[in-house]
Amino acid sequence: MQRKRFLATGGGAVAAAALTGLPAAAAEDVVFAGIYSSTGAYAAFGRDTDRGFALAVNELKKSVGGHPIKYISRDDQTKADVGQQQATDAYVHDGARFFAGCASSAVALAIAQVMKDKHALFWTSVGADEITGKECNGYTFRWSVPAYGAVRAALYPFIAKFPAAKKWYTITPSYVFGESLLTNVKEVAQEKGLTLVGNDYHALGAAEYSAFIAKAAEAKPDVLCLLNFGGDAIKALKTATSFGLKKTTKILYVWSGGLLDFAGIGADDLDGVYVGCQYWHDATPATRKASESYKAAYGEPLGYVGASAYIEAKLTFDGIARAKSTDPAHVAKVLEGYKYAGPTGGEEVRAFDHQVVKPYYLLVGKAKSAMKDQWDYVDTVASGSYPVPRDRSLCKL
Amino acid sequence: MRRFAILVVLVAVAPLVLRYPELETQILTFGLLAVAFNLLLGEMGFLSFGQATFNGVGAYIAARALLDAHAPLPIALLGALLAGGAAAALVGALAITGRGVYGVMLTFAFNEMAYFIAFQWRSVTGGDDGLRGIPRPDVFGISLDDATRYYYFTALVVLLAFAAVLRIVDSPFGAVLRAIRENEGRARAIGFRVRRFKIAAFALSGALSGLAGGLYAELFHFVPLQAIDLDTSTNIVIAALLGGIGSPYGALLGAAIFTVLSNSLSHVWAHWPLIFGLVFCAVVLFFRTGLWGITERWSRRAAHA
Repeated sequence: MQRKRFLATGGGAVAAAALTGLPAAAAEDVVFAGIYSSTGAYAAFGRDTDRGFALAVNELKKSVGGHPIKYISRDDQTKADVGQQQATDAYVHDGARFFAGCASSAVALAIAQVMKDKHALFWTSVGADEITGKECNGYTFRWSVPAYGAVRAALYPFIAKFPAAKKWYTITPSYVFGESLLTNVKEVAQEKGLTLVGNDYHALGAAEYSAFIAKAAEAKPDVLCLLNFGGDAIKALKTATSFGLKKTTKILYVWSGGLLDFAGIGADDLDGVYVGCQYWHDATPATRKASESYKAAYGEPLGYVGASAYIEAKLTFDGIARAKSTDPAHVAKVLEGYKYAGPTGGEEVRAFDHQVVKPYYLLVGKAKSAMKDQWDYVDTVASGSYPVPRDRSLCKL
Repeated sequence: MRRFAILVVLVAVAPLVLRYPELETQILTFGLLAVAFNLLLGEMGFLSFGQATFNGVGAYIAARALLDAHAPLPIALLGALLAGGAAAALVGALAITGRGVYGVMLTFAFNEMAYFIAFQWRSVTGGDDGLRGIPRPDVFGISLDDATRYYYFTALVVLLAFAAVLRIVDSPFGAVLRAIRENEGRARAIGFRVRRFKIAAFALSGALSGLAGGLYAELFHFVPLQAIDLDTSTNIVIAALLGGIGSPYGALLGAAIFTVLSNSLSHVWAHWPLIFGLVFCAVVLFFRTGLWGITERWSRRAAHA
């Protein structure tokens, strides 16, 4: 009996140790929490996000302003409630005060709310205008061009190239990111006299797109405009190609995940498709330079996902170094108006809405035979920067 | 009574030993969901695979009451409780017409339906984005802004609800539910209106689930679409079975372990549900009475030693 009781007590002690949260970091550590999906709809972006964060941390030899950097990561499962729970856990349990990541706008908006309550710094690169618009807050920053600028930078040069393509059909994921893109596409359509002949909504992470694509083909549009992202867009695009839609219709994938998406789509299906992107390693001398250290570390060029993670972490540490403080409020202040050399060249953090001003690229898929190397999927068509004008911004910090 | 006193003490000291108040609050709201589920399965012998429906309805009602009407928190929670109960009475009335596995499938189907309504009805539920910015108003002049305070507020509500469940289980009403579980035909032959009892049990279970949803809505100021999805329903079933369906305490224990493990395992290993699946299989195969059953056996043996 004694042995059993001993075992019971021992088991209890182990369980108690597992349950009890002892702060893992010493006070002077900078705990940086990378939040991305290892599981869930956007799990495909997890690896490169982690690599981007790790690269920035390692470049600084895991130390900023004399403080050791402790990098931890959390899986948001592409679910808003899980993201909030994991961010809270990292804040309280690991002492994290600096956060970055998220591939889904809905998750990022939910986490931004936690950051606002907890006064922790948060960098993200999701698409919905709200992050640095209506739902902006003093602790949240965004590197990527939001829907407003991305749609304009992709659509204007596309429309200039194909002025006769007036009939557009859109496919939209029914969450805040898709809605944000669609709203902006509608504005551009009105401005440029396009007709939106149809739109289909699908759930994030939907498995089947043939019904939507068949409906789109039926409408005989000049342009099929994809407003979804990642796995969803890959599936929709592959379905459209297998329907033979490319013969009659131009395809524009407005907000792509860059290199990772292109590899998923494959050169054959991507050939002739127009894609918008936040970063392309071969677009300009600046982007080529930015890709070098990543390629040296991981053996492949820097993609949009890795680039956004890398720069989010780097800007966090730049802020800490410039503020000479690990107080997120001080760091946020010095980042406002900060000009720096980023992955796309000279970039700037706007003070009034915490939005980075940077270019967005329109690319076009090239034939497999024309590819210089295994990553050379696209040619750069245009690049442009369309930040939300201050008088249109809904952000009140 | 002694057990309840121990529970009250555990809940009171939890913030001193456990990880942090937000997690403990989740344990309580999820625990209430498992207890509500257990009322149907443990007492009445009906497996409801759609408990998230009532959780979601409660969460949305509380959120809308707080967002649109700026209702006081107790009123919002009362709304959640009533709405959850009403939804469950409706689902229950239809689900119990199906016998055996068909009844289970009906709760499942209604959950899917509720999910898609919530998904499409963006103006009310926020769809896939969820509802953000839900306020957490003061209660009787006391601010609940602090996470620990909100934990104690939730603890008070959940313990009251739990005490009510214990009372119901011990009441003649509870005895009738068990009679239905053991032999429905005989219960009917004695003269009990079985159908009414079943609907009442559903309404009770739904009301508690709605209350849990209402409490969760203010925790992170957010109602996710996941509040009403099938995954949540499945998790409730798993947690309750893990804890043991014989007792409301078991359901609470299962929910606590499920919440803590899913929260901490997920950043240790991305494929943590696999570990959880194995633990679940082991419990169902070898420890039918769940973890609570094991605990009870231990304490009995210790008492004899």
